[in-house]
Amino acid sequence: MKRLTRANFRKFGIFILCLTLLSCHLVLAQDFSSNNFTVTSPVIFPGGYSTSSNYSLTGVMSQLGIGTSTSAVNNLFAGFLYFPLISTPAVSTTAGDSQVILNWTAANGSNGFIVSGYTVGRGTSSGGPYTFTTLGNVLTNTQTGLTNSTLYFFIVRVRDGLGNFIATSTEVSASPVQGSGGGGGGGGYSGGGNSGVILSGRAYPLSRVSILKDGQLALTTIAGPDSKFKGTLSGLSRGDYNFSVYGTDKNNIRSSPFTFPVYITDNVTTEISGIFIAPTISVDKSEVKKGDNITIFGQTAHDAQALINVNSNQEYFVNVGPDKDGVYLINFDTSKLDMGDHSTRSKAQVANEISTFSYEIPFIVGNKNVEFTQGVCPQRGDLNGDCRVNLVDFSIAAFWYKKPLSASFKAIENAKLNGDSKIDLTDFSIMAYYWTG
Amino acid sequence: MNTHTKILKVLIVILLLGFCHEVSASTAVVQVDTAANQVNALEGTLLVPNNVKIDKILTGNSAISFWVELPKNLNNKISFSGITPGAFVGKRNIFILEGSWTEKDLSNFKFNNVHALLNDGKGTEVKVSMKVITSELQDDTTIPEAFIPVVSTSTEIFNGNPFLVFAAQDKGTGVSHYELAFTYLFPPSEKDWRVVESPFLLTNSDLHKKIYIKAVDNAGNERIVIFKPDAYTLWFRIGILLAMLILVSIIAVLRKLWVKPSSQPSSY
Repeated sequence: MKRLTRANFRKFGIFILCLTLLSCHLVLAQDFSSNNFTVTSPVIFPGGYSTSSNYSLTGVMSQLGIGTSTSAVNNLFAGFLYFPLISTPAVSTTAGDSQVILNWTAANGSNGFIVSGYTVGRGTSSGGPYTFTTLGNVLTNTQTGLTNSTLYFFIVRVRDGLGNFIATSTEVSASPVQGSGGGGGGGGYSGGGNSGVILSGRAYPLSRVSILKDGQLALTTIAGPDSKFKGTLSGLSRGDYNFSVYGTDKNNIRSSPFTFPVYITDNVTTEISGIFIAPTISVDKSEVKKGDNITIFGQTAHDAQALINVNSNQEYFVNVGPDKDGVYLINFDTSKLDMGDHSTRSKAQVANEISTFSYEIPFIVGNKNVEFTQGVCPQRGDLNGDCRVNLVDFSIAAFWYKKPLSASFKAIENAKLNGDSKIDLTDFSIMAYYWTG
Repeated sequence: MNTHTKILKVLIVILLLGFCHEVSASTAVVQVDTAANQVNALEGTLLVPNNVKIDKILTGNSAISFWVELPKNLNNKISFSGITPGAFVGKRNIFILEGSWTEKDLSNFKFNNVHALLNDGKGTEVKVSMKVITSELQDDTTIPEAFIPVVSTSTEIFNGNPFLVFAAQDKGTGVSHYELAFTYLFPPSEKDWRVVESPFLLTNSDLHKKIYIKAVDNAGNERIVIFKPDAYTLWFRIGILLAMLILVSIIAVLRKLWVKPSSQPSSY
């Protein structure tokens, strides 16, 4: 056996050193590309943990590095590719004397989009040109000095923190009418008249669309083959209303509701248009064996693109086009997900219109496959098992409010509410979230 | 005489000035500000100063759709709790107070144990601000809105017996109370009505009658909704069928009894 001389030992040491130095550059990286850009061999070095009196930052190292740092004074969105998202506002018009009151839903931004304000565009021709009014982060505006009986067109644009337009509502129209209601707000009340509301927008082809007025089912209508729907409610009094609209897909799965608060004035019909109902969503497994596919599916407008979001330590986004019935489906490879709890949700986009997010469906990446049996009933809140969450369930919960629960109701509370063996405001909040009317 | 008149005038002025600083009938609204948060559940207690008299609490045009605990005044403590499916955001009215206080008293109204929960399916708590501000209440001449009562059963309440649930909205002064009446055929008379709350336990015989539910707002406007339970509809149909059978039987008997004069020639 050859003796290990000092010279050989030195050579061996140099060899090991070279190998170590070389291995420092052996970092796994993957190119990301789109039609517009490419990120070549991106590398994120471990960052560690940094803090100050105002913020904390947790470093990450992964394929898509997204670091979010928040405090009262700082916001940081760092890393490679991710999708900032924004939902488009739905706009209502209430015609008055020489004026039109506009109300709109808040645009919800995520992953970097922060809404700083809105801009209202007004024109006398459909499609513009518009005269713009820049507003702060408000959800109402009254356009005054208008000519009665002239048809005006309006859009609402959403601005980010840098003043860029990041979303635009669908165009709405209204004609000011001499002597009509107008005005609004406040806690007072007088008379009351024959007011109404027209709600229109996009659901899924031939789907059932339910409209709730202050939490009670007021109207059910069917969307056309073009996914469009329109519903009219009349006999309303002057006051603040909360309208919620949700769709039911061909598998009887309900969407998350789209809610629009609006102040109704006397003898005026308010139009709420541009409602874009979120897609329905379901999965085929509640637990999926790591490396197997999980099928994520649902229904949306036939001409929409569904954007499916898988939430884990890092977020994944998949774009998919639905079939002619609006049904979308992907088989998502779970090999890239960590073991543990994950969830998925989706939203839809048609041209510049973007829906809000669907309900979030949880799933586990583990060692076995377990079939998901969501059925068509709400996940929670349905206390009497009729697949609805409404006044009956509310009454049952109210019966047990601040009382010791019976053994049988404890089991229901555990399965359908927050499982703390008592009925309090949190349980009612869960119920309100899953409310179907 | 002139001196007396002057003194009297001065006294009247002093009295009037003093009266202006006295408490007078007032209206104020309890308002919540959620900022940009979507809140679907709210509870709390309003502590009213001892020298303030609350006459009425109105829930008209409230951001709350369903009350778990209707705001009620108990020794100048008003507790409230309710939910809004779909949530509310920003500055919204919760309830209206009618009573006697000065503007200065309003700053001594305090809130305690306020909890507001996000519309996120988990009931995450979020901070909101609440205040009481002077308001004006105008006449309410509109009846409460139409509503749909529901009969249901649950093993978890009323020992599985059927119960009736109902909730009406009133955008003016708010619903004051509900009344209920049962009849077989004719509309109820004044004495048939009784004040009830939802959920209302039904007896088996109640289900065979027509149910009238009256929602009365704080201005006295009424909306009556008629509900026909399935059993009533069934018995009603059976009753109509029986009545028709009896009618047909009577006609048949009458026809038999009614002998026509014979047309045959008389024999000689």
